Amino acid sequence: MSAQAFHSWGEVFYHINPYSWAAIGIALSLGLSVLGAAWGIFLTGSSLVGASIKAPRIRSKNLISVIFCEAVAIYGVIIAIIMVNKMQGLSESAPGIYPPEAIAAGYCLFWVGITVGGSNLSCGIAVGVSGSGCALGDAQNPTLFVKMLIVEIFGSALGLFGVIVGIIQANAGNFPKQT
Amino acid sequence: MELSFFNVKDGYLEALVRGLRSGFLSADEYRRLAQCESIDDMKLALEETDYGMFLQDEPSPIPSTVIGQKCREKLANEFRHLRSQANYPLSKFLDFLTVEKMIDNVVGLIQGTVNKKSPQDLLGRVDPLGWFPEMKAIASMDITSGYEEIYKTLLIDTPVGPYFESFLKQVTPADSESRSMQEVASIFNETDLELMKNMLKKAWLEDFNAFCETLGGSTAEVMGHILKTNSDFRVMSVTLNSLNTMLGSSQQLGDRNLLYPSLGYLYPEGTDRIRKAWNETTVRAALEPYKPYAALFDLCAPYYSKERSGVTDIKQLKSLEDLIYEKEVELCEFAFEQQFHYGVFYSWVKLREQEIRNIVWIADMISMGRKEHTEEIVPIFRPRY
Repeated sequence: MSAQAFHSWGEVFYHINPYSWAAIGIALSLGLSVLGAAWGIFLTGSSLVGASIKAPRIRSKNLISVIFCEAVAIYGVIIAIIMVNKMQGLSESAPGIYPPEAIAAGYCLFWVGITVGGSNLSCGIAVGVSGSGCALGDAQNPTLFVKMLIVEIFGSALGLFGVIVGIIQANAGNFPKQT
Repeated sequence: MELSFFNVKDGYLEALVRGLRSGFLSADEYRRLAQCESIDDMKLALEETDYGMFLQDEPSPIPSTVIGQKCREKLANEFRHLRSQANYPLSKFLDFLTVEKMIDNVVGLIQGTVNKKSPQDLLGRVDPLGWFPEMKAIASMDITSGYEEIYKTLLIDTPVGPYFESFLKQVTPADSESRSMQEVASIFNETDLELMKNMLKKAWLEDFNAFCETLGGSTAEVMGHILKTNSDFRVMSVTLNSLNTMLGSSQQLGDRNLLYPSLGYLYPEGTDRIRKAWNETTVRAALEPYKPYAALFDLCAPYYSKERSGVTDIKQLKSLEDLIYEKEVELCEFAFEQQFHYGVFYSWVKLREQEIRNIVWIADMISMGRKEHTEEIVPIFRPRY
């Protein structure tokens, strides 16, 4: 590619490879989801370990809270796989010039990553905090477990919303078929 | 943010202390203890609780003081377990809890050496929670040479040193900056030990509160409330006790006013009003704008005026100390209602101390054969509906 002069920010963005937008989207969706899941697991886990010293019976039951957090990471993986499958068939008509469909698809996948990553990060923290409360509550009073579990399920639903919206969003972004 | 970062350092310990919370004696277990015929029965009853076999190695007629001491040792062991795993802000918070006991211990030791008790006897009676190595030196000190030695030990390298220093600054006139050891010793001789203890506690309370405020968040909120209320209680009990001694000279009034901590809900207007009060009516009037405290005062007032009013049924009456114990238990119980703050550690220690007082009281009553009084305890985590 020869040295070029850019005249505006729009032009700068126009010349960025749509694949790189899509790849950043994948990185965000997977990375933020895993961050959220890990955060939730350490919030739950540290409380669970402490609480199960005096009440060992809670230790297997409360692994459910950890699994809820883990699910958040799986959401990110699912979306990342869907997005990877969409990345194919990019052709340059001239150096640095991409077809408009490809540019639209690149932006689309980037924002899918933001949607899914952001919602799963907050979902992971929410499930982690309620899971930590669940472990402490269960240790004191076993009847609280089911009640806290419902709170956790609703927290977990937040991440699912992100996934559903992300899938619908990703449907719009298709790279043009290679000819 | 507190919600998402608290568990990084303190999640495990908070969960652990909440686990220990479930070890408090239940109403049933208190009932079982109260029904015991002898101390040996009590030992068996305690074995079924969270206390376990802690009295196993004691020779059979166990005095109630030994039970208390053993309970405190168990608390201190559990506390040390927590302390050894704590990270910075929490570790300092826990150290503050031990410093309070250290002040008690040091004052107790000095009192003991003044009364010429044997060092072994004295060291056997200190609160294990506030144990520190220099204590041995204090107990075995030769006090015939004055308090100079004790002072050197206390001011250098002990955790309570800073409080003694601030205490000294308060009792010495400001112009004597370069005071000699001799002067220090003379102040020490003059100052009543009880007065000194209260001054030290006051300095500790103010220091602890300042530390909790730097922590911020729920810790500052929960601990702020507990410490403010405690300092108000301190003001009330100092005031009432000084009324009772009927020593209202201006010198003593000055001494008393030095003891009021500069924090709490009463501070500054309420404290100021109490400072000027000199008898029951004026104290009551000073407390008037503070409804909960005024109610507390009314509750315990008959106890203090019982000699005059000729009430014979003492059982119905409660002293301010009893009422304060009850209120403190309530305060500490409420600290467990929130998650992600340090107040639970403070509350757990305070509640365990109250539980130990309960056990010792029951043991005393059983060994004296006055079982009708065994119910007069402050239950902890009484079921609320």
